[in-house]
Formats: sequence, structure tokens, C-alpha cells
Amino acid sequence: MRGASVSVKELEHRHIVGQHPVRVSHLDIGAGEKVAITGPSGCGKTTLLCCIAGILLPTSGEVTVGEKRIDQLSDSDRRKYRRDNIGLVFQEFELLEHIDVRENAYLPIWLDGREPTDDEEKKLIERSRRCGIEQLLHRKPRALSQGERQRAAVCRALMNSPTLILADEPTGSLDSNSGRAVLDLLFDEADLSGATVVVVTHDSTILDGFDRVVDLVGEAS
Amino acid sequence: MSGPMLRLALRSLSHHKVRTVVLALCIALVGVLPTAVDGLLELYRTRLAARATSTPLVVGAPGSRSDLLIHALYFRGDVERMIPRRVAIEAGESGHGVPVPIHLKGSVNGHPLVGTTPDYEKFRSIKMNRGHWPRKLAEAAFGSKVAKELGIDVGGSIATDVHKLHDLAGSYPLLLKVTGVLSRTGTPDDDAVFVSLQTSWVVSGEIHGHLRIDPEKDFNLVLENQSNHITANAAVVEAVEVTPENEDSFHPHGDPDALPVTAILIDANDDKGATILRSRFRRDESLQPIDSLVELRELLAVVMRAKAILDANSMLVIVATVLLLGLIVTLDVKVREREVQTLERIGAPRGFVARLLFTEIAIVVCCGGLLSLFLARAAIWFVADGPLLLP
Repeated sequence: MRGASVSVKELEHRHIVGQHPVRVSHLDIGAGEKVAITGPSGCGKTTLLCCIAGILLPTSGEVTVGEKRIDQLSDSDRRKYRRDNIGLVFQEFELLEHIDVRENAYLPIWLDGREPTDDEEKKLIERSRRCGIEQLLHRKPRALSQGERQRAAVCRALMNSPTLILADEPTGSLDSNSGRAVLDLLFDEADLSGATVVVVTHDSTILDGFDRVVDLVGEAS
Repeated sequence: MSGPMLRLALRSLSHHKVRTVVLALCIALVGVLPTAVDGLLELYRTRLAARATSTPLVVGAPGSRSDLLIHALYFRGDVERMIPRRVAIEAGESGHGVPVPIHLKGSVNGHPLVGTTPDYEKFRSIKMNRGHWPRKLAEAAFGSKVAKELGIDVGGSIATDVHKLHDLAGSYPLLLKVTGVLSRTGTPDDDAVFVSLQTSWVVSGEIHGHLRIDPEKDFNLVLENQSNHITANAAVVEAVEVTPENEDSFHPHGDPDALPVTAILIDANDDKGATILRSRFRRDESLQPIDSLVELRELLAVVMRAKAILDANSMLVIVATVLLLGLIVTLDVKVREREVQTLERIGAPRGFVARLLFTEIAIVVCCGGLLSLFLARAAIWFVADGPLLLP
């Protein structure tokens, strides 16, 4: 499986009318590339990530992932596109507290309105082993450490075999060792699947493993 | 609603156990009163109607018609005035039906003591579970519920209640011998103790028994001595138990046919006989015939008017509860904003979160509703077989 390329052109997103908009004039990310997006707080890193994921719709400009113009998709299509193609990892893990790790991992499948197939169940076991949480699948998130939670979140993000992995400050709530471990996990999984990885971060200590670092203020470095 | 959505909803509900249980309980408590009242009224109506249908014509003294109905059919309450037994004798002699006189003045441990004739057993098609219907003075047949409650059986004995403790001329407790226990009927008969009219009159003081008074020896007990009649004073010891020795000493003062009964049930031969008897009773100003079903309908109409007020109140409580539930759900969505955001970000289909919340609410409402029905059923069962409602 190959990763999806990402192209952003003249993107502008205004949260509130009258407020300073987020602008990204040009950004191209190749298929299978590992890219870090950095920049000061408020420069629009997360907004850009959300526009690529189709969570936010840009006020103007183009966002293309693979062959798809994300900004032209309907709300329902963008939701389906996220479920089928995107693996999302958040700073605060965003695991549902009332279901266990296994069920959290199955969420993208459940949201598709179906039960996991035998093949998907095998995949979960395999991925959870690689993520080091095989023994934690029946635990609720509150019974996990921060690092374990983020690994569970990565496991969930990979359940739909995404072509594009988007991570928003995935190491922001972790100590440096745990952060590095989670990032390595993401990269390993991306290497295995060929998925493109886009990570938003302001942590300069984790930039080593990326193919490219994009500074959103200068837009490229 | 898909399986995964149901599973997510159930997980969320079980995770927030206290909230779920409290909400379900609130709904159950709001629903239980109107449901129970509806069920009880229906039961009440059915049972009353069944009794009234089997006893279409009742005669008593003029006064409250509903009191007479409740008294004669359900053995509750008292009547203002009584009528002489003679009315029953004359009705029987007319050949249009069988009169079943009722004399209801005493009680046994709070249960009504019904003085009547053996015709009552046939009239109500009563089946004896054990023993036989009372044949002699101080014999009693107990309704199934009373027998169970008092732990009494054939061969046992129990005293009647004392009603006029401070009345020198009043009644004394009489020791009853249990000769029979009725099979369960699901009617007020289950809660009553049946004796002969004579026994009931002994209990109410209309008939009494004491040792023979010799005016020569017992001059201190004699109030008045006429040639054929001795009046004893209050110092004479009245019998409180009927024995072979004193059985013959029980006697009324005055005309036996004038002894009172509180009501007469008429088992008319046919409609024509009932009509003839009804018109005969109507002509006598000292009597009041009532058509049980008509009276019952009027009585139920009053109950239904009261129920309408209760229904309006229940409606207001339900509306208030729905509004409060709406508020709780709104606040819950606020509290679960992060969870909702996560689902949306991962790619939850449009309306999924709303459907998920609706599913959760539906489950809680269903559980509350089922609990409400269960509690209402339990309440109806308790009341129907308990002391709170006419059996």
C-alpha cells in the first residue's frame, strides 16, 4: 500500500469573521513522506492539520489528498474519507473513557456501522503487540499510563490501515522517552504500510527522524 | 440503530452507573403512580362491577344509597338505620325470589362479622375449603384471607371484638367456634367471618343468654318481676360462650320478627320477580331498594372525577420531568463535549452522535418505564391482595 500525497494551495481559514485568518500559500507532501510541521503557537498548525483531515473546511484555497479535493467534498463524504483513509493521533489521546482499549481501537470500524471482521481482529492483535499494549486491550484508558494511552491511540489510528497519518502534538503530554517511543512506533508503522506521516509539533527535540520539517511561519525549511 | 451503536450506548450507561440509575428511577417514580392508579381503578371497577352484577337488587333503610351498596355488597362502613327481619320474611313469602338478610354489626380482629342465613352460601355459590357453613349459635365460617391472617382453622375458636366497652347495656365478646373455612373467591367474602343471624344478634346485644334467674334466690338481680316476665338488672352475668348448658337460655327481648337486619340481598327468580319486589319495596317509605349497577356507576363516576384531577397532576409532573430530563441531557452533552468531538474527528457519520444520545435516552426511558410497570404491578398485587383495597 502506498501513502497519499498532500497538496495545499492558497489555503485560508478564518475561524471567526473579523479575526486574523490562517494562511498557507503552498505545501506539497509526497506519498510516504514523514513531515513535521512546526511554528509558534497560534500560527495555524492544528488548523492546517484539521483542513487536511477534512475536519475543518477552508474558507478558500485547495486541499488535495491523493486524487481527492478535500475542500470540495460534502460533510458526509469528508467524514467517510476520514474513517477510511486518515489515522488521527491527538495530544490528549482522546480515547473514550467508558470503553476499553480494544473497543477504542474498533471505534473507526464501529463508526462505519459494522463489527470488525476476523481479519481485522487479527490485525488488532498484531498491531497491539507491535505497540506494546497486547496485554492492556481489556483495560479502560484510566487504568493506563500516559505513554500507554498514546500507544493505544496510535493503535486506534492504524486500525483502518490509513494512507495518511496525521498527528497533532503526539508527544505533547509525554516525557521525552515516551514521546520518542511513540514517534518511533508511528514511523515503524508508516514504514511497514508506506503511509504518509504529518506531525504537528513545537518540540524541536523530536525532529530528527522526519524527512522534512515545515515551519509554518516560513512555510518551508 | 446498529449493534455497535447499541454497544457504545450501553457502555456509556454502565460507565455512568449512578447517573443512569438515578435517571431510570426518576422516570420509574414519575410513571408508577398514574400506572398503578390506572391499574388499581380498573381492578377496583372490575371487581365492584362483578359483585354488583351478581347482586342486582338490595334493600335497606332510607339513607345514603352508596353507603348501603358498600355495606351490603362489600361489608364496609355502616348504615344509618336498619330494617326489621320481617321484610325478608315477607319478601320470601311473596315467592318472587329468595331474600338473603345481612346483619353486619360486629367484627373479629377487625374483620367484618356477617350475620346471614344459609341462603347466602347458595346465593354466592360459595365453596367450603374445609368444614361446613355455620348451623348453630356461635358457629362461624371464616373467609380464606381471614383464616390465613388469623392462623385459624376448623375446630379452633376466637372471640368477637368488643365495641361498646363502657356501655353497661352493651354487647359482650362472644366466643366463636370455627366450623368452616371458605375457598378463596377473590371477593369481599374472603375477608369476612360468617355467622347465623342469631349469632350476630347475640354479638350486637339484640339477643342474650344468662343463667336462669330465680326471683326468690336471686332477688338482688331482679329489676322488675311481673307474672310472666322477669327483668334482670345489669348485675346479671351474661354468657360469653355458648355451651350445651346455656344454649337454650339465649333469647331476644321483644318480637323476633322485628329484630334488625342492615340490608337484604334479593336473589330474584327472574326479571319479572325482581321488578315486582322492587316496586313493592318502593311503595314502603321505610324501605329503600337500590339497583346495584346503577349505584355503582354513580359511585365510579365520582371516583373518575377525582382521578381526572390526579391525571392532570400526573401530566404536569411528567411534563416537568421531561423538561428536567431535557436539561440533564443538554448538560450531559456539554460534559461529554470531548467525547463528542473525538467521535466527530475520527469520522462519525452525520447524526451519529445525536442517534447515540437518543439511544442512551431511549434505553434509560425504557428501563425506567419497565421499572415503573413492574413497581405498579407489584403495588397492584400488594393492594389487591392486601388490606388497602376492597378485595
